[in-house]
Amino acid sequence: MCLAVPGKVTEIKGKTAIVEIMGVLREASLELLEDVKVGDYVILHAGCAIEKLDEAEALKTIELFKELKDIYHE
Amino acid sequence: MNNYLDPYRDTGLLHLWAERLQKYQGKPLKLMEVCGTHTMAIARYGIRTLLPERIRLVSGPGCPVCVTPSYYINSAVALARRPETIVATFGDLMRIPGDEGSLLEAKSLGADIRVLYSPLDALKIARDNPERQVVLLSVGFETTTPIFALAIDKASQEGLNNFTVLSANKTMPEVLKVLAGDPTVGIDGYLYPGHVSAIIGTRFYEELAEKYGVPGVVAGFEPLDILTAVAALSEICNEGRHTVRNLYTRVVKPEGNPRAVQAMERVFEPADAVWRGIGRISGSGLAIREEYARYDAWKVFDLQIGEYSEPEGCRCGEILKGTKSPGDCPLFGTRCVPENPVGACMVSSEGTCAAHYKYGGIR
Amino acid sequence: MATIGKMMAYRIKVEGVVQGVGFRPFVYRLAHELELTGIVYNIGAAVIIEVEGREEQLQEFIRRLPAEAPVLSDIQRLDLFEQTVVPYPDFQIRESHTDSGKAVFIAPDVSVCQDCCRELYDPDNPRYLYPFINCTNCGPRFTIIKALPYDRGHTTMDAFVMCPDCRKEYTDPKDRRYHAQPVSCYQCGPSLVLLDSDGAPVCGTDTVNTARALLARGKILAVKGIGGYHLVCDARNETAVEQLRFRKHRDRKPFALMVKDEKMAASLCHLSSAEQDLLLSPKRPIVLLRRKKETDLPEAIAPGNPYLGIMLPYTPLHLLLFESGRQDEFRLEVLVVTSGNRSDAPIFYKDDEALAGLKDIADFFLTHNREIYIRVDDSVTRVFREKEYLIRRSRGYVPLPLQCQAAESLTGSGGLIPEILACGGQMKNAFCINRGEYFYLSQYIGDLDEWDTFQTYQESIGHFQRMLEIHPRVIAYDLHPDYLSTRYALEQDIPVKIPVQHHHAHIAACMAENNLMEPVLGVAFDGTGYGEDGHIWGGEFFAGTYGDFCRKGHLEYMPMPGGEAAIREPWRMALGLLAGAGVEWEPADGQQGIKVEEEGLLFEDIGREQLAMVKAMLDKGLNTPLTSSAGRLFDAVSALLGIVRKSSYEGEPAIALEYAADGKGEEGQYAFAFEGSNDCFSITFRSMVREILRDLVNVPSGIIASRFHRTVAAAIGDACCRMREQTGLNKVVLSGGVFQNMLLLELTVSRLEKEGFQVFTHCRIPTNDGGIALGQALIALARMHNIESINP
Repeated sequence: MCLAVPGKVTEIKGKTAIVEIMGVLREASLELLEDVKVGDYVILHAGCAIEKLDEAEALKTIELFKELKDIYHE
Repeated sequence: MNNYLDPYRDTGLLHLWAERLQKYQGKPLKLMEVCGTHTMAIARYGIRTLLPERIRLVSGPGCPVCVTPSYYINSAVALARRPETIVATFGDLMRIPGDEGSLLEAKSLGADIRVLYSPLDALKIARDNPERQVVLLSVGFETTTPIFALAIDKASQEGLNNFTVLSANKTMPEVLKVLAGDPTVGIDGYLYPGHVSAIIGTRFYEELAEKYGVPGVVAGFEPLDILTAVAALSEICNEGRHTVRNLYTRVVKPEGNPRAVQAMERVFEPADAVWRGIGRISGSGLAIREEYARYDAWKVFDLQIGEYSEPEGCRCGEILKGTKSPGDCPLFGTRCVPENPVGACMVSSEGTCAAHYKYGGIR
Repeated sequence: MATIGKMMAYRIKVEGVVQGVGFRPFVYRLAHELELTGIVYNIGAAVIIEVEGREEQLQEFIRRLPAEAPVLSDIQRLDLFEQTVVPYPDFQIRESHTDSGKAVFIAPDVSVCQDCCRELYDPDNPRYLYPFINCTNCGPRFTIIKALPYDRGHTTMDAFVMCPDCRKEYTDPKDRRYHAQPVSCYQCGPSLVLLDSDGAPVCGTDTVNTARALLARGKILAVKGIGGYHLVCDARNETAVEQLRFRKHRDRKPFALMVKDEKMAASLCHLSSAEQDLLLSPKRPIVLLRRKKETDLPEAIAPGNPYLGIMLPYTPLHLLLFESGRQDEFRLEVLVVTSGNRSDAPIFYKDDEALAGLKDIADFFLTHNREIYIRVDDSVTRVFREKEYLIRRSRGYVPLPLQCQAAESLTGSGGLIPEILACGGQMKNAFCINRGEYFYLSQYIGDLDEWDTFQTYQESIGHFQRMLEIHPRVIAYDLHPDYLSTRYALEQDIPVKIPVQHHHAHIAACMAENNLMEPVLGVAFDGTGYGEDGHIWGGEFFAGTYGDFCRKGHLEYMPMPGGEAAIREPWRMALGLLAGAGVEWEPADGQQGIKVEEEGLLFEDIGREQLAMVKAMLDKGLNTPLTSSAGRLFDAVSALLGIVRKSSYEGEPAIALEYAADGKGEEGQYAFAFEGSNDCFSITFRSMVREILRDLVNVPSGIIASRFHRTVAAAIGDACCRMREQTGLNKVVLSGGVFQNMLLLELTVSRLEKEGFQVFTHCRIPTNDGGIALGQALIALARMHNIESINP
């Protein structure tokens, strides 16, 4: 039930959002998060958004993945 | 469809990291993951096939359904049989075998059991059916519990009087401690669950590393997330460092999600709990607080735990502790298969045996 | 004398269509015959038999159980367990208190059976000439059920109290009317009445004979059937038929016919054995049959149509209209039995509404007081290559579920199949709802833009959910933002919503019907469907499977000058076609028509102003959406050939084009070309347009039409070859309303088979929009599974 894939917030109505994941639109409660905007990516779990995806950190992680590639290509 | 996931699945990079891991010459390591979603992802992406012999990745008690003894399903089935009850549950509890059959079997015999994707949906069922008693089944770790807490809180605010929750929720810290301190299990390092960590944060893992000497790495769920985490963890373990590294920073913050934790603590309090295969661990479970007693199905229906047993030959317990793997169980793939499970590990969507059966190959 | 076998006992669990079909009385009778004891009862959706006796008799019982099971039953699974002898003193039907009523199966309406037929015409039978005779094996079911469990009190028969004689039959397990909920007779059941067009009763007794007399004299009657009202007249009376057509404002759409028996059908039409089977099936659909050249029926029945839609009588009342059992001078052998509605509105089924709504069309009303709970149209079907090819799925088929293996494979072993409501499309709507792997397609609802139809849509969804006790948490719907089914879906308080592209749904529906679970090549040809790029699609080529379809190619985008207007006036499409091919034209001298280069005069029936307006639209690209629709391409060619320039009903130009194609042995075809990239090709017909214009000078339009059909089939063939090269896939799935064109279907399948493809077409699920809901449901399932398999 733990949705590992983040979904995109497409609409917000009060404390509820419509989140889109791979062609499926899911209603999700925003009550466990603060400051969510349309366009944010969130982690959904059991009908609730439990965390927001941090874009900056995401990029850092991808850089880390590539670290090895850079080491090998010197 | 999901181009933003592509960088996390880059096969080229994956191979490079695998190569790097293959070159590992340090001491043999036993690393444990404790998250059902990790169990499935690791099996699905064949992560173990990319690891060298020296690094063993075992599954621990990451599946909340699997670690719940059968008394829970027995009670749920008993409640479902009452004509006035509607039992609401997540899908993964439907096929778990109980002493009097599974919830799915009860449903085929006429019980009103409804599968939901969210505990919040159960509130609607209660509102729409005022003459019936809605019992929501609640099994999960800290990722799920705050949402159940939210549901109970809302029920209380609305003054619903036909809604209860049958809870068997548990928390991770105590069991991680117990396993870390158990020499027969022999863990060198933990792969920490991405989403439980998103809720509880990483402070406790640091305590564990310092006090028990077991380091860990918090990992996401994409193939590169997992592989790089294993590589990092191996390095840390090999160098004898007692640290914790967070490689899922895009979702996990050191302080976790305080709002979710607050929601959870408002409704639930720590209690003792029985973990299949491990036994009773104090303070490892959650019980509904007295103020919300009218939403506690155990109290409202005055349910007794009663006798319960493990099916004969079933090795779920040892598998959950990481001391045995699915192949070691005599029933695996013969008497115990997903369509006809003997133990929960084979039928739960996060079960170790289910993962092995579906994707094959655990060393 | 056989050796005395030892006493044994078995517990048998029977699953499938085994409730509400007289299964328990059948078991009772069989057990009695074989001198076995025990019990039989319903539990959940299954039947349990505990039976004991001598081994030999038990083996006989087990053998005969599936072999002789009731006509309406369908045993899908039989589990046998040996158990200890109880012993039971006798054999009984147990009314189990755990009988839940959570049925897998609700009986469809079944046409009157042979046994009831015999009794109907037996002067010694108490139900002699009784128009509502039925039994456990026949009669109304779905249309009279208000709620489950299936019990008289939950049907519209609850208004009638059984007389002692009927009750005796109802409670005797040996009787053919045991537990037959609609059982009734002259004493206690519904009665017929004949009314004039103002609703005043016409005659005391002999209602049937008076009705026959009226029909024979050319009157139009509104007759209450099983799913709604029909308008009926004598098909051999030209005046009556034309009158009916005029009053219904029905221009050229064909009327359905009911004939006395299959011999009559065979005399009017060619009848293959597969077609005869369909005609005689207890579902009693309307079967499309090719009329014989010598058949002499008024042209007004099916103008310009080589096919007739024929059904056999399916209620005792219909039988009596053909054969009243009394001597009279009237001969009625063929009746027009068409839907009782005004133009395209749904058929009337409520008495007061029918009386008000049909009074200007019907001269008289032949009706009765058994309420129809839910409106159900007649089903329409035909045969393609010896197999059924269902066009409209409704009375007799609904609500039998489809047991979908593909659904099971999508969720994996041990996976739960969620309950999904798939909302269907806008035209020819049917929705779909499932429990586990049983998918229930609703009856034909119709075009949702009719207010009454949309009401029926919403009511039916509620009805199905209540009856089957399904509470969907997932809803699937068409991408088209303006479909009423889409708007309905978005308004529902269901947390998971899945939009599905129209043509993907077509392909998925055909795949599901054929139990295909791997990637395939899909060809979806229809009139219209909202495309992912915002254009109107309809000539699409895909590769993929439920969870993921990739558009590999399509027919070239054509302009639709005036949008919707181009559907009603296909001459606009034709002009668009000319423009796309770079063919120059100018208005002809005089007020009508155009001059096309050297080829001469076209569109002589269209006025100058209109032509100029369309030309301006095309030149400026104003109000001229683009479409890749195969249906519109057919419309365009039809208009170009002068076959149909103005459409009086949906699909008429294309249908007429199909009927016009009479080039037997014609081998010619036109050119087409592939353009675009490897990722997505488009098929253009520019040279074909010029070739057609040239042919128009001296080639009969029938030959041109044939050549055109062959061209399209060839284009499909080449397109699939191209896709096979790229993907290695060898299975081709054909779906969409344009494949109701039997000529195109045959040419396409032959061509594809010649190229070595394995071809799959529809059978029990309509190829038109009546089938897309099933596809929507499966795609929704696949998407859910995609997400959940990454994270359990």
